[in-house]
Amino acid sequence: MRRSPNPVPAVLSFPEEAARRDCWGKLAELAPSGAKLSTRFVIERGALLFVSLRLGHEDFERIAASVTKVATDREGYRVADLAFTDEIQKRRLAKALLDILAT
Amino acid sequence: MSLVIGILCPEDGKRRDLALLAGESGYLAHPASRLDEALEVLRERRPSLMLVTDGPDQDAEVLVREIAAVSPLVPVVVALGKRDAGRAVALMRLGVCEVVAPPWTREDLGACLGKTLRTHGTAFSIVPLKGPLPSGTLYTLVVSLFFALAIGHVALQRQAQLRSAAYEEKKTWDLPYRYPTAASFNGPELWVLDWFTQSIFVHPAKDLEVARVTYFPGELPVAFSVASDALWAVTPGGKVCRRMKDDKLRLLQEFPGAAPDSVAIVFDGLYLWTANAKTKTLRKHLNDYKLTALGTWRYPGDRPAALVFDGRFLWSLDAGSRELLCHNLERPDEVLRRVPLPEYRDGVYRPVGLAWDGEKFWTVADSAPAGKVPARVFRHSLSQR
Repeated sequence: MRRSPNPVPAVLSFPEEAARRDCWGKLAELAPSGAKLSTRFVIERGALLFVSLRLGHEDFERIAASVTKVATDREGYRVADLAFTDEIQKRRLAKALLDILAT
Repeated sequence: MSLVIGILCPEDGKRRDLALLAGESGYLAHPASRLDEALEVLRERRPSLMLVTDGPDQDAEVLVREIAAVSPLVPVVVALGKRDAGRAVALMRLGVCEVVAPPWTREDLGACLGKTLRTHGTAFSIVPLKGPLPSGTLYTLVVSLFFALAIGHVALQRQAQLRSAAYEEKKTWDLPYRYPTAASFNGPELWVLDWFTQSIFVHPAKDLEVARVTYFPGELPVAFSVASDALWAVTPGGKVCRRMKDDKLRLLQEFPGAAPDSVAIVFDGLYLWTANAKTKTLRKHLNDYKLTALGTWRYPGDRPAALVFDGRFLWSLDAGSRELLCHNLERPDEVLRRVPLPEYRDGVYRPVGLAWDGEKFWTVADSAPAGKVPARVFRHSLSQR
């Protein structure tokens, strides 16, 4: 495991039926299987959302994820556990993370 | 003491609002309307962070770069004039720590400022993230662990009770040698002298396994007794030896001819007692340089085989009548109590050694005739007689 000096920001978008505007957050942890997200916006457990982020020079658009757990930290930020659901995106993410961890 | 922050906002109203909100959140705000004022605040006030607005009249990207050029370590928070997730993320990629969405509230602003001061990077991993255990699973685990421990504790107690009961029931042990001549307790260990192997066998009282074997140096004694500080032994020639209780039984003192024809010896802490088999007498010796005999008394039994001091009385093992005799210390020829040993009634074994563990008497026996069967140890409960 390696920690970046600054947290990776991410745009959070939602399915159309959720009728929600995009919001943003930062990733405290990131793995091919999922991520831990910290955001000031309201996130519900069980919600489906899409995460867009940049790793190095590679952009990842709308990684499908489901919210498996939500907690609130001392500042009132929601800390959500995200499970990525798209296998192709997970593999692509794994490759990018391997490259980062290998350097 | 309040943390100092700088605020850069060109609009008076918004700047005043932000300063007010920051003040309500516990920060000491230094507002600036232009970049040069903000840079002066950075140099003069050394703020913990800078709060910058982003809108049509002020591009936060430019300001962030300028601030980073002057104070690269000062975190920057951007208050967006219009909610735009793409813009917010783009600013954060530039190095902005937090982006506050409109409308700006005290809660949002306070949370963002607080978060900025405690920010960490992202942990990258290729293994699945480990989340905390679900509370239900944790509860089940804790309850299972509790019951497992409780059941284990009860089972262990039961096992200990059964072991203790089995030990209490067991009163005889066969020894792996055949020619014992004397026995004595050294703390929790039973020491038995075997003349054939010329060794002292040390047995833990709890199971009477052989813990160690010590070859007896020098002339083999006919009897020995372990006292608190030394081992006393008497040879067939009547020589009394005092030895250390170490692994080599090193000799401390010798008293040639001090107790001729003795078959038993014991030290009561003050005097040394010996039993003469030929004359059937008990002798009391002073613990001096020649073990001066203080008195001789007729042995009130048939054939003395061993002596033991239990802390109050002198006891002897009468091999002839197969009894334990309790002697009056002042007049040893007077028997205070006779305890028959029914274990020897069938005549298969002959008692040769006697030991006292602090609670019970133990006797060591060889077979009649000697060497026919392995030696045996008997534990005697006098209270049951």
